[in-house]
Amino acid sequence: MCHPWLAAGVAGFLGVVVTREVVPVLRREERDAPLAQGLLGTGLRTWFRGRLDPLVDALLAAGIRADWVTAVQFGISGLCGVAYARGWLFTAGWLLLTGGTLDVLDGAMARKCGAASARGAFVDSVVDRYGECVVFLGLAVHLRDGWALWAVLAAAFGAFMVSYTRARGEGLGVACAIGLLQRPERYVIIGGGSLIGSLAAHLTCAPAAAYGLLVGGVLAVAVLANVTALQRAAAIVRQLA
Amino acid sequence: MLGIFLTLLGAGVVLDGNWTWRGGALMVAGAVLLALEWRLP
Repeated sequence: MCHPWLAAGVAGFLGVVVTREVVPVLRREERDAPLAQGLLGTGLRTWFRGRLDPLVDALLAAGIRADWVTAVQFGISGLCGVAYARGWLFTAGWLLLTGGTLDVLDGAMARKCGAASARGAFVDSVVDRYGECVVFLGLAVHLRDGWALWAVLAAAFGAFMVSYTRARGEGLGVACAIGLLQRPERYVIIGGGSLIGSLAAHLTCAPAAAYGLLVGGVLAVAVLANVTALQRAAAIVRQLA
Repeated sequence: MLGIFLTLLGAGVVLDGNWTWRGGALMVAGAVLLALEWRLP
């Protein structure tokens, strides 16, 4: 069953939010900002952290710990995987973006209350990887009957290689956090693709629209995540030479 | 932020689950929260 009027309303709502919140940030951002810092750019990242600040303060004041937020983030990633597997694309996209927000939130909470530690960083990284794994599993179940399954596998491989190259570099004493497509960009491309695709499918009453935009997002991540992993590998090799 | 997320959750409940009233209630709650967030300094 399609809901074209609701989809139009949600699209309008998202348009207002983007125009009001994001466009001024993009206008302020320097034109020559280095792409190596990520497709989203530093301006958008700074804005997003700033918007989360009141939430960080409220959660800390309520006695909530960063560890708990990390656990909730993992739960939301699990729900996101289930939503993808069931074909609930709008909900899955929303959950993916929410999980990404909590990923930023837990780190900000730990830093703000002085609880940032090596243990916390390690647990956060492990939870992030498992969370991504569950999301990609859900996507693989949803797209299992076509060639797009290969795109999901390539995207998952690229995403893990982006993290692996950085971790291996840091293990060898070389810090390397550059790259076009880091975790926030992956969340935005796949989550945004799911949201917009689902809206397009409801607007046109054509389910193929959702499939096309979701697969387009997964393909973009498959290519750009592997490019990012190679970018990082090259940077680390140069520093070790 | 909470208002945006609540509104989109409500939309998802309707679009994916066809639960019109539950999703609609979430969307209205989210929109009210968002309006309050945007009015506050």
